[in-house]
Amino acid sequence: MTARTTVADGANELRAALGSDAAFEAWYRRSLPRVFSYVLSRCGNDVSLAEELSQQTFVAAIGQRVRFDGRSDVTTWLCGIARHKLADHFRALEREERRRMNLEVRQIQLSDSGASRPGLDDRAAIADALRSLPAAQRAVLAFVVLDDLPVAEAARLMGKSAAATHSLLHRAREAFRHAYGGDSDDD
Amino acid sequence: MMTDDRIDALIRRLDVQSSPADGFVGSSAADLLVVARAARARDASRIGRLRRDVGTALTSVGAMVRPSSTTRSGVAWAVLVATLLLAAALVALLVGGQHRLPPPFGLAGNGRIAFMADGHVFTSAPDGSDRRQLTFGDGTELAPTFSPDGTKIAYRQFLPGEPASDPQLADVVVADADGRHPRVLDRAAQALSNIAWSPDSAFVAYSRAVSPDHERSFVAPADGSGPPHDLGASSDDSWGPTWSPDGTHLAMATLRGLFVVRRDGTDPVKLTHGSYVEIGQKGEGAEWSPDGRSILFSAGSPDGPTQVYLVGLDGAPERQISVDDWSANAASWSPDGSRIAYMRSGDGSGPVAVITDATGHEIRQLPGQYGWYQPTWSPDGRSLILTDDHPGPANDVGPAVRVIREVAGKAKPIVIPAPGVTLDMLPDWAASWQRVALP
Repeated sequence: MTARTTVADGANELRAALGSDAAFEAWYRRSLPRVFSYVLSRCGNDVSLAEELSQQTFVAAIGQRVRFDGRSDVTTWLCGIARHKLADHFRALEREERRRMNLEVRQIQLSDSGASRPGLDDRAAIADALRSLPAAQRAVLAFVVLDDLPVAEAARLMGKSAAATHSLLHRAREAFRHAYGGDSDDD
Repeated sequence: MMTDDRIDALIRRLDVQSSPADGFVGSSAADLLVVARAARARDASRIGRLRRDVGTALTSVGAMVRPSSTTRSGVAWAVLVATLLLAAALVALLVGGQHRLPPPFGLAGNGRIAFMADGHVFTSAPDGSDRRQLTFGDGTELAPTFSPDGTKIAYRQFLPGEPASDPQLADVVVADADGRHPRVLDRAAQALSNIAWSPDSAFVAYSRAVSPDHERSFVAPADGSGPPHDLGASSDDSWGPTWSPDGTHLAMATLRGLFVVRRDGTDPVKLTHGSYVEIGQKGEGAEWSPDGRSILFSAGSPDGPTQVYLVGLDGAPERQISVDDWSANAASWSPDGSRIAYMRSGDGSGPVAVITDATGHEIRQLPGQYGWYQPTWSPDGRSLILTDDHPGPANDVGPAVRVIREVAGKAKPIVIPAPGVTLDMLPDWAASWQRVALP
């Protein structure tokens, strides 16, 4: 498929979706689950936050429709927008945490949480552990581990230097290990 | 000790397909439809089409060049095409952007916000900046409302000396949208209702007392070129007239129910079937849906609180859309007719704002408490103005106009202080949003 054809396909799909109420609703219902799943897994299974960010994603996508270049399918493009929404959210959270100076409190709570260790495939426990981390640590794990982004790319998204993001990733894994109760694991 | 790889593998277990709740899918789809319609309307406009096509062309050029062409000539060709397209867009914008007016109803662009504060009419940009005072009279001016074409503004001007807590005599005034060239269309009217613009922005309708015990509805040319025309000289009392979207009829509240008449007051047709203590609170009669097929109104029943009703023009009985347990009032249609906003009694801290779909099915209750003022939709249907008149612990700025951005989302409202707004003054709506042509 040529680049021109790909562009036309993607653009046509988006244009068709906006062509009528029925087309839009069908497209939205088709696209939403993937966007919602993407956001939900990266925000620690916080359903209301995932709903909010998903909706923001679609609002932004409609606003940016002329910038869609069709190099990916539309849903992948939507997930790219969602990633920026997540980054915005994590940045705002990080500012809030700094303002409230509760980072230390969180880490004290993390120390306590290691007492009982859940099963390794317990998704609820994994999500709980992820959600208990400071926003920046959650962000770096979401972007580097779940999205497979290079650290430099995650750093750009988060507005940090690559070196600081490397360090942040290390601390995030440590904190997750602690929160999930894996620091005494022998495997 | 868990290795980094093991941690990463654990975290990746979260990456599974999840289904959003049905309720969220439905409500968010309804909310996003409004955004999509606005986008469609913008794309359908001449400039919008051009902008969209230029955008698509530019991204197409970018995509075509990006994967394969590394030659200087290819890049130069792409830059040339892009430059020509941009130049064409600029010329079209300069030529086509002059003197454009919004359509008479439906979705439009967001202009300035008009509101009353300290007894006068002010306007501001939608973000609260660029605050300008429009009226400077010795009396009190309130209930500003922009004309549908956004070029004029009407307001009620209470005469100097009228007590602020219970003003009686007011003029009907129309001015340019910036407050200049005010014209008094009717003088010293008692029990003056809200002023309703005709869709073509050429006439206003209102009601006033014609004797100590009787009110009637009038239509007056907005340019002051003729005297007000009495719509019901030989009929019952009527109040709160509002125009149908096509400008051919008006709805009016009467002692016998809600009626629709031709614009000259003839051929009255009764729409309501129930018995009410009063239709239309605080001078507001009813509001037409943008498609002209149904009308929203508030009414008090003999044995219950005021409720919001929806009645069609097909002769079918009206349907209550608010909930029995609470008082409800001041309903308004979103510009595209897909949603309704109204105020409902809350927990004692002030009424709450409720958003429903066009059938009255509740979609959302907005956070916060406000005053009993009619919610004002932004012309693009995405935001809502709510007015708060009750200072208290949750309202540290005092009376204010609050612009709820993105009704579907959770963005923090913009607060525009509006001191002097009090229930005593009983303005029916405290704010109006100017309609401008879509970009």
